[in-house]
Amino acid sequence: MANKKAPKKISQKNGLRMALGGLTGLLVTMDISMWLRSHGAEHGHAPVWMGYPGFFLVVGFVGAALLAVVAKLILFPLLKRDEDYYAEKES
Amino acid sequence: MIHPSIPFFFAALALPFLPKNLRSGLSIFAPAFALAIITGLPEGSTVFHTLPGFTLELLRVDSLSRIFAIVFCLVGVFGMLYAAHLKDAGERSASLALMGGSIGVVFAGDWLTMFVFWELMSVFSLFVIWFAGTPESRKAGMRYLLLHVLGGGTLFAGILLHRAGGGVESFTALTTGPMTTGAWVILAGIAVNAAIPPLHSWLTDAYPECSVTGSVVQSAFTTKTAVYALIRAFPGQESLILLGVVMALYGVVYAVFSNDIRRLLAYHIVSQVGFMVAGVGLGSPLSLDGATAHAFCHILYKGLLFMSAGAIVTAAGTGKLTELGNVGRRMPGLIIFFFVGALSISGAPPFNGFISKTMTIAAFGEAHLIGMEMLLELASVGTFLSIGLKLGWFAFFAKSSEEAEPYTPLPPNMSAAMGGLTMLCILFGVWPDLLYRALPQGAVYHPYTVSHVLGSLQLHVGTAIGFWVFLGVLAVKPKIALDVDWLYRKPGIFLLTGFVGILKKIGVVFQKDGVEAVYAAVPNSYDVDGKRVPVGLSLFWISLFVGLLAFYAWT
Repeated sequence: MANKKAPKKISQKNGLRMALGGLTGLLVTMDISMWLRSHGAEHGHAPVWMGYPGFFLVVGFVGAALLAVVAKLILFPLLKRDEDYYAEKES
Repeated sequence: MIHPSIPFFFAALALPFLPKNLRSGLSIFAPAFALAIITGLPEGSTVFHTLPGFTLELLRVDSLSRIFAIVFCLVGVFGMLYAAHLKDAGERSASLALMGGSIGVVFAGDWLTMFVFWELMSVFSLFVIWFAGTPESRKAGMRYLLLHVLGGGTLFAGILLHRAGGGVESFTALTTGPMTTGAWVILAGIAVNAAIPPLHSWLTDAYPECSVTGSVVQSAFTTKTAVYALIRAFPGQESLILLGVVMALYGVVYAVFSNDIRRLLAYHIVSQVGFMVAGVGLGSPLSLDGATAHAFCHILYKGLLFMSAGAIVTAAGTGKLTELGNVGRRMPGLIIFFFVGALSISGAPPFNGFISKTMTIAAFGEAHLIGMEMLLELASVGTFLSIGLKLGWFAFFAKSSEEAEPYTPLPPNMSAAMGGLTMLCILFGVWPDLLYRALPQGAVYHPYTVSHVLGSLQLHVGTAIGFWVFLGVLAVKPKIALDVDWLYRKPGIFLLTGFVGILKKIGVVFQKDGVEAVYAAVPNSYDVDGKRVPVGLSLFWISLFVGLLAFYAWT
């Protein structure tokens, strides 16, 4: 009986997914509460859109996507060579 | 008064003559002793050497030179501890001399002294590369030498032009007035050592070919000495802003597709130095202090990252991400060292990158250069993407495809050195004032505000989600990527061999149709040996002449 009721083991993938999701939720909640509290107040030098809740979350995601696509899908196919590319003819 | 570089040069000279069991002790003691000297140095210039016509200012101390010298000594201590298991003296002698050269540059008060130490640094870093002893390191060292001869020559030409144009002898800012030709040429010479693209390829080419202990030492000195020279001589030189931002992104893009972990880290030197160069270009007190603080923190966490990478290479015998995997399960202690370094470099609180990198970025915000600020944030995203996530995931946690061979156990001194730098990364992260109060410009900056901390954490989590989504795209491939060094490794080499071939052919033509034809035309069969003066007789005349000259000069 005890064996049957034991909770299902969480896989590595699901564990990471839960951790990331939890962190995202926590950070967005904190950011929204900060934004609501300081709304209308002086933001110093930064433009308004930089203070929107979750802005840097989006920057991180979009930045990672941009780098992955530009670097890995566009530049890398042009620049990649075999590892012995230099070794063959230099010696 | 002892010049702080003397312990380094003394130890470098003495090391080969010591018994093997004393070498490690002396090589660690030398930077520690220099650190003690530096903390006791009074401000101002104290050591001079007079030459006919001008005076060398060998030791000039102010808060900027002091802070660079302190971190050079700190990383020197831990770098030598990391190498303490070595038996041979050669690499450590070269490393110590390299450190001595850097210390000499940061304390140099005039351009000539600076240049002499600058060149010493180049020469001994070349020997650090060559002591890896592999054919690849020998070739990479030759290419390193070529670029640094070019850079050093440019710097010297710039100094001569600067002096000929009536510029001041002392090593101070050249941006107070309009930039002269000499100043531009000096800037180009320094740009080689600062690894500003397209002059960066010596770094990413040679550093991964060093031995694991050599690359730790290399990562700290050459580029950061150049950053010091830029802060000293070119604060507020606006062209550096764009160059720095381009650098920061360039390094990140190449790091995204690097497979060799040490090459990946080398590209991140280019990227991180970009933040400093951009800060120097902006030239506000906050950005200059940001560049100084970032150089300080960068030396610590980059040393730690190169140490972790070296530990992986030592243990697994390879540094290629495609052949690694599961390192985390097999070397659990290394996870802490590596991820402290990785989170430091991407600027996550509460590690030391957070308190220094955000200074530069905040300075751009303060100057209303929002575009540059966002591009630097993008470089931060790429930093976490390629080190913390890509390197961290594929080396430490991904399933390794190959059958696991037993790992070589690490020497305990390596772990001790990594532990030491980990502590320093955390110490300066949680106690930023320890660093801030030593900064030369005295800019006020508070890193631990809610918006800074939340912003940085969001950036990291957002990047992690992006990595998760694009994991398939970012998977490493066993390939290399072409960089600027292709120019002199492929077409350059063809041009050179072609040119030499043409010269040889011309030589043959001259020999046949010229020299031999003349001999043939001379009547009475020309005897070559009959017209030559014997070597002994020549020597006699030469020594007589030199003796007369000496006598004349003496009387």
